[in-house]
Amino acid sequence: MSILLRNILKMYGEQTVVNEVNLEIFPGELFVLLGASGSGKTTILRMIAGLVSPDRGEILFRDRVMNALTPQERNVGFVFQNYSLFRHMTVAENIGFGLRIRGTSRKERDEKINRLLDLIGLPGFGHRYPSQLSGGQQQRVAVARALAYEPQVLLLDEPFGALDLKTRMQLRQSLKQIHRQLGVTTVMVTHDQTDAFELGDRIGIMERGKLLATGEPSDIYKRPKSEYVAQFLGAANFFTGIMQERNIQIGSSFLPLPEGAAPPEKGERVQVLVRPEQLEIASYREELRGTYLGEGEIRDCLFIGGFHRMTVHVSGVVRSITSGFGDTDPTNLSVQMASGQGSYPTGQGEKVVVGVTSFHILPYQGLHILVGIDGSEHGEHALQFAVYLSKKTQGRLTIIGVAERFLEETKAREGLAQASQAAQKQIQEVATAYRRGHPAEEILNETEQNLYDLVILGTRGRHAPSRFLGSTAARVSVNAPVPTLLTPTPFQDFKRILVCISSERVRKSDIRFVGRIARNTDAGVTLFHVSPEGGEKEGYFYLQEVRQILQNLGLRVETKIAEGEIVSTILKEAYEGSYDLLVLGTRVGNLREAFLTNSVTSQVLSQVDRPVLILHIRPPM
Amino acid sequence: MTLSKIIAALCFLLLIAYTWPIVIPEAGRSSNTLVIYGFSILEEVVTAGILPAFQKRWKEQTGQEIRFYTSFAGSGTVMNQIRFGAPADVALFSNALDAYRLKGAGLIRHDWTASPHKGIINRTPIILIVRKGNPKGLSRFQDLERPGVGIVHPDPQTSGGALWALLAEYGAFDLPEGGSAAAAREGMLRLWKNVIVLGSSARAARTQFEMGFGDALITYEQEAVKDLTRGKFNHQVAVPDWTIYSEHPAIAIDRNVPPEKAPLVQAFLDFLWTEEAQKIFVQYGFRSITDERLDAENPYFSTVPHPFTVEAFGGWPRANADIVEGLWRNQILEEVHR
Amino acid sequence: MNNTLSLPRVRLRLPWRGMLISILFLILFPLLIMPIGAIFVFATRDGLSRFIHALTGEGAQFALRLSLFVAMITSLLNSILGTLTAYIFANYRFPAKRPLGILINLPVAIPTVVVGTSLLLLWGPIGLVGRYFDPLGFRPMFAIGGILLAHVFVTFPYMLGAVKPVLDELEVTYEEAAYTMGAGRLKTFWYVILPSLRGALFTGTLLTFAHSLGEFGATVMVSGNLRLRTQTAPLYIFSQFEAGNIEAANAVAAVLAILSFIIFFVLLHVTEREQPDEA
Repeated sequence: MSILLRNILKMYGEQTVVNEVNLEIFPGELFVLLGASGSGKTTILRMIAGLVSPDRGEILFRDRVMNALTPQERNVGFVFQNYSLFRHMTVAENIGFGLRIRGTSRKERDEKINRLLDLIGLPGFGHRYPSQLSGGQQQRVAVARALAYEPQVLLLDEPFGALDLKTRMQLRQSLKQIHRQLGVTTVMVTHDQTDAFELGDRIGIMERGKLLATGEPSDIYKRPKSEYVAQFLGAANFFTGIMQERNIQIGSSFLPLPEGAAPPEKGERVQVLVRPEQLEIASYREELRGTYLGEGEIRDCLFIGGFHRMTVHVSGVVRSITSGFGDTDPTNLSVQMASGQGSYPTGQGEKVVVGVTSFHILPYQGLHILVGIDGSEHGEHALQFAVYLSKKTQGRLTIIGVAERFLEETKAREGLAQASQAAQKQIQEVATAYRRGHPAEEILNETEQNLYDLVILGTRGRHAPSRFLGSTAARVSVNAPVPTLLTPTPFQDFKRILVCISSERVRKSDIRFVGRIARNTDAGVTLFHVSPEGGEKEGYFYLQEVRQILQNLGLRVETKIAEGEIVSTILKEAYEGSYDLLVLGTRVGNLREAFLTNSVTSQVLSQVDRPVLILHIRPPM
Repeated sequence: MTLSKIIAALCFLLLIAYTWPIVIPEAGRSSNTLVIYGFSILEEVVTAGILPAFQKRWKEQTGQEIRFYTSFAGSGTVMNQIRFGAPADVALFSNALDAYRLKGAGLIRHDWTASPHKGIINRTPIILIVRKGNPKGLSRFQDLERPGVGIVHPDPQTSGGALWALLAEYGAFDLPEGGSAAAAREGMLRLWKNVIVLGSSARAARTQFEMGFGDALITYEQEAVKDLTRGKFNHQVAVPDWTIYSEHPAIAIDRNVPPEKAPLVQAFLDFLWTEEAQKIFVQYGFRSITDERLDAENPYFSTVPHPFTVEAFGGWPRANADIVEGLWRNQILEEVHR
Repeated sequence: MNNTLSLPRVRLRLPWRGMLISILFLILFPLLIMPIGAIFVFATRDGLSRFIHALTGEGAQFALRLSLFVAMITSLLNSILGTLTAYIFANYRFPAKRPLGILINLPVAIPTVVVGTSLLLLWGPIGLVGRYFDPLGFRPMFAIGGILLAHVFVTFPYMLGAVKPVLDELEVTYEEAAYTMGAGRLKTFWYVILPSLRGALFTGTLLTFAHSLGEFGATVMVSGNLRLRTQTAPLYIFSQFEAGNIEAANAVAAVLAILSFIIFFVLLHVTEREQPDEA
């Protein structure tokens, strides 16, 4: 019995719980939906069962549309998270309930019940009551109950939730056995990766309502399609490398492409995934089996059952900031060595060499940009910038229009449609979102619900009355989880970018983000620091740090230092140097604090006449 | 588990078997039932004496079985119940005032004063019941004014007997030589200051007295006579020289009596004035209204030196306005509560 | 009963313990225990034969039967009404749900006499609604129907209070499990939900039964107190007492007291079974 989900959408109020999910489950397979709580996986399961109706989309069992059928009519077996065994009935009566409803004869029922009791490994338990059983036993009865009437599909909702590790392991085995014996198409939902990997013939990964990936467990683990999926499934080290001939250059090392792999173009930037177990350490270079990456020292080492998990600091190699073993320092790599793999250094501070035994190249992902339009001229400008950047980074674009009052609805929808059409002439992936409500709030909600890399908004810049900063632009740029680009002027491509550095530190990922933009637009980057009279050494050192980070990305960076009053100096430099983009930092979260009239950013914003990219300053540690 | 189930099942069956007889379809408005609402002290004489006698007579005359349903309470309570729809065919009040009220509400549509004896079926004087030996020497209403005397009095708001008592008290102060309305006011005020218990009906007041409250109970003579007849009277009767005869009307409630039942109702009422019924009344301690000579058959009746009736005050409506509402409720009750 | 006091503690506390317990008894005895005892003393004062004689009188028998009958029917009606109400509240949303939820518990707060009066004013032959129904022959007041009406009203919250929490606690998945196995709404209610309410229904029934047996305030207003027709046991007791027939009143009172004890102990037994005693 195959199951097909087509364009399934479900919203609870304003929240999209299941967002355009397309999924096919093959007959007889055990499919596991893996995701955190709130990812929508349980909702999908319940929709298959008929306990919840999708707002849009179809559910098909072997080409038959099931949307209109009640749960009773669908002939599915459902195992609930809390088992939901009928307390007033014996085990046998529980199991036989479905058969009883279907009018099966007593004799046949009893036979079936006994067979099932044997199958689940609880023969003779028929007379007991659920309250007399352990959690694991109850679970098995729940499964038997769901299977008794030979449903076409078996659905399990986090079946091993409240059980201890040992019972979980046993039940996993049992379930796998039962599935093999009966061959029923099974869909299981869980947040536990071990469940998914051990049981799933195929797995699907859900996050915030979207189905990110489907495939065989080993496939997805070793060859994930995106950074997000990769880190979802475990610790990972990501590197950005440059293609050279048949090697990938990372830092000063060259990783040879595996045989038979189609090489990306020379000079192209690639994202490389190396799992901790794909890295190795040794005391001497000769002992390495894989490709030499660099040398460094052990920062941390933890013994976990059959493995050592270590963080190793390697000079000359920088990884993207994504999950390692909880370490955020990009110069530390996460390494896992199996204890049986011969001897290797494990002491803190020991000097080691690091090698790469295998790796995976991630398909390149462009920027996902959110641009807000409001029918005004500035919205138009913002849209043009958005299309430009989206094209340059080969990414996706989502256009959002927010109607504040009911009357504006039609205008907003029209505007969106037009904008979308215009955009689609230049880029392929364009989506639109229509919202009603307060613009800033709706935009912020959207950034929370879906993953974006950048938000672009038009503003009125220096032609605005002095209080304009209480507006959408201000609120969004201060509160959004990603950088915000404010565009007061008509479109001009980026040739020169001015990055203003103060002593306050910005997120490293944001710095790299600027680097990425610079790389994709081929713009030149100038780092600019204005030191107040008397000189402040800290800002100067930070400047060097940022420069290093950007240079690691392969950019040529100029630095400039000036003295004087900050705001006017910045504006002067921006104008004189004909920069096309200004990059500034702002404090996160607190609107008033961020835009106190004497703060640098707000002053610059109120007087500037070119686009400004706003990054978030990290709160002081 | 099963043992309890068996026990529960048994209990349940027992319950059904026991209560089953209740589920007789309501005879209700059939022409073979009469519903009588009466005031408290009539309960025994009516249920034990009058009704069986009438049932027998009716059976002899027509061969029909009559079923009676009765309810007894304070006269005011009875009146209110009927006003709110109690299905009485005949009401036996302690005074005509209640009847006037029902007439005003449209439940009674005929003039019962046109009937023989103005609808009154029996009477009894208002007397005092005192403790055995009469330690405080109470014999007239004037004696009750004395400080330190505790009086058990029925409640004029609900008891007909209480209204009669009020008139008796008033008359005792006003009617004799040298009496006056002012004297009545003074006297009653002092008397009421000594009231320690109010009973919701004459019967209820009696029970309070039995429980040991008070030195004197103002009530119907019948209350005492009934017990004297049975030899169960542990107190003493004091008959004031000036006191009132309480006279009790029996009236059909026109609104509740369907035309086909009217003859039965009339026959019942007529029966009440027959010698047989009057003799029963006397037997139970009520004085006959038709023939004074019948009273001799009850040796426990006392002589009342100076009896009067409600006519002395111009009939019930006036008496009520002047004495009950005007004097008692508006003046005495206020004073006493201060 | 396990003794949770360790030995040294007992020694230390003994004098206080004894005194406190004695004080407790001294308060409880006249307040609760003696009045009930007085009933039995008075009832049998003139000998057991008079007690039986008083009990077997026509009026007494009728009153007892009527009270038991009314209590049974009230419990039955309320179990259906209560379960239905709890089910609807648990499963559906509708306007004014919350105020309605508070309203249906109102009978607990209203004095029963007020309930009786209001029913009379509504359904009596001259009542707001009754005046239209009276000519049609529908006269609930001063008849058993009126008594049932009053009792159902007054005891409803007790049944609801017993059933609703249990129903609310029943997780949705309980029903959903039945649905996925092919049982429709009705079958699910009958096979799955109702059985799980067994305990609550039993408790609710006992409470309703007990309260109905003893109901006086509303009954005295709506019944008309007709001997051998609408006079329930409590009304009989009151009437007889007012009439001075103390023995008859006490006889029936004694029977009611015994019945109440039985009901109470059964309730205790049942609830104890569900929550093990922590003594």
